Amino acid sequence: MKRKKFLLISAVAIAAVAVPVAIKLRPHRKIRLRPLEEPKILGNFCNEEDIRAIGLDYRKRVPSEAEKQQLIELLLNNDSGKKIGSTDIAQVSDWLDTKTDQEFKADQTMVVAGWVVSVTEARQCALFSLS
Amino acid sequence: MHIDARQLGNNSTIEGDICIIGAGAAGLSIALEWLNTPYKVILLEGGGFEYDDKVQDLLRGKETGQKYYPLKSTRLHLFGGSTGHWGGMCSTFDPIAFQKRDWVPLSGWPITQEELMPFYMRSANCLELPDTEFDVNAWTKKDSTLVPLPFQKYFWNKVWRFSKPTRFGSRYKDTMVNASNIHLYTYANATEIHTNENVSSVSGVTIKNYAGKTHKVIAKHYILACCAIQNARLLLASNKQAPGGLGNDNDLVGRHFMEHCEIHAGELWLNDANALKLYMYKPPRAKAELAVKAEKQAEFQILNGITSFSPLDLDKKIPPLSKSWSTDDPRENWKDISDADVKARGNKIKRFFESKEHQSWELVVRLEQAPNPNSRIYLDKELDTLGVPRPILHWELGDFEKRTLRKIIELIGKEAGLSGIGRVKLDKNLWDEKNIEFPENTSGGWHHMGTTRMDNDPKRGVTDGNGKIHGINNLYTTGSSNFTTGGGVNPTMTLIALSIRLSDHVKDKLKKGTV
Repeated sequence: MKRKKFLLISAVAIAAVAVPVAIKLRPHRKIRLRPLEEPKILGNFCNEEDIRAIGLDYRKRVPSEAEKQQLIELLLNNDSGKKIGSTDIAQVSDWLDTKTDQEFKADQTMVVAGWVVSVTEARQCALFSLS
Repeated sequence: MHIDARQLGNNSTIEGDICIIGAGAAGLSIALEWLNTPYKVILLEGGGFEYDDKVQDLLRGKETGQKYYPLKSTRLHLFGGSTGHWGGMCSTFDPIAFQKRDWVPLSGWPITQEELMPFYMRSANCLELPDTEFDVNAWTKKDSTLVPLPFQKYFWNKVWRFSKPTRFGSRYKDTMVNASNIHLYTYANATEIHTNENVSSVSGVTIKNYAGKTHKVIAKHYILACCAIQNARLLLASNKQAPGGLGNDNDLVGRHFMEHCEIHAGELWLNDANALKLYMYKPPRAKAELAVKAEKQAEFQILNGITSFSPLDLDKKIPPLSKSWSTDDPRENWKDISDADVKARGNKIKRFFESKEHQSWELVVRLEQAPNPNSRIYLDKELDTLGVPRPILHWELGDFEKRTLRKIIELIGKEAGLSGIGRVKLDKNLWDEKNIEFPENTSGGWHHMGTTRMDNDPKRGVTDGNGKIHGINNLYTTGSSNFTTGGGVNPTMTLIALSIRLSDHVKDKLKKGTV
């Protein structure tokens, strides 16, 4: 009986320490419901206010891309004029992530509100700031 | 042997083969090279073996321009010099540091890294380095937990090795005191250098102390090794025969003062928490920092700079050095820094249980400063207690340094995105490309360099490639004052390598009987 009680108390004690630690250390990941205006990696570190600030700064720097529809078109097209044919959230997410990776490879990056981001990420933030 | 210059009869004359002025890292590393030689070496130290505030006060001066530490506190004026409070960080300057870079005005040393390399290796002895392995691959091979960041487009991993840190004062006191051919004089402040009538040769050096004694030193060769500020100050103050000061025909002495700006300039946010073990300070093993590849410095026309990492939450709790190193007393400042560090990190038990893995890291850049004639040491009208004009430091940083700083953080951001490991945010001061002001937290590394820069052309340098002052056949400077450009890493190892190289040169001259 004593042994059982000891084990039980130990388990509770370990859980009391381990669960909060695990929660604290758990990587913060968001599920993207609106991928067009939610940059994936950047979204891990930035709150809505930051995303909006990046978007506002981008629109200030690139005033020719201030319209919502225009930004959506640019996000759904790539440089070679190819457009994603799907509206599926997962596929749009992948499309944007691939575009972001390609832009970093092609050095199509910029500093917006202090963050070093790809052009696609900056446009996603700009779209968010218009919503 | 050791002689306290306060105990000598007034107006004594001291004679020897060479006279080394200053017993810090540079001066002592030369003196060690002359042990048990047939030559009589006069080694002059302004202070004693212990800290003495009256002596320390001789370093006091004024600071203008970019905010800087109180000059009195930036060096230690005692036997062993500033090795009494250095951190022990050792690394070699990169080959590019010595090269002429078209985009860096006045760059190009009169020697190459290759020429200096044997002396770097010799410097490891007096620095008591455990080894001279500066190749990151050797370290990652030895320990698979040391993993470099996947940044390969713009950066490489510059390796630091750590001295104990060797406190030259305590480590080499007995060696010097017991050496029969080294005559160490403490409380022997050089106050003036005298030359012959046409200022082509030094005839003697006046030394003084606050006990009111004045003496004269006569030697065949004279080596100034008393730090970048004091080397320049002594040359400028020796202005009886040369009105502008010795070696100053081209108005270069004291100019081109350089420091390493140390700036907390951005944040690295990682997708997955990481301890960045390879980049953490854990002597005796090596530590790496991110250095910009030479070809990328050329491509972007930027200066050199290397970046280290500090956990963001911890970094925010530690006040910038420019704030915590604020008094005239180096001992008090050192305590303030240590206390602030302990307060931020917590006690050992807390640290033991704390996770070493972090998702966010502060990017701390140590930045090369371009040679700039307006960044300079010059003389004040106010005299110290021994009658020598006090120094004024005007530290000037410009848009070149600021542009470099911004570019380095931006390139780290590009690498983070390219490798997919996270993103980087620049410090707010860097957001606007047109803002050339330096952030409030800009600190120096206590690395004074460039005031008697080396260049074989007397119009561009105070000394030649060996450290001999142009136009004066037996007067030399050594230490970081001779640096033509400042490189991206701490100067100690390089200044000792240069000093050993000069030592060989002077020895050779003495052997040949040439002056």
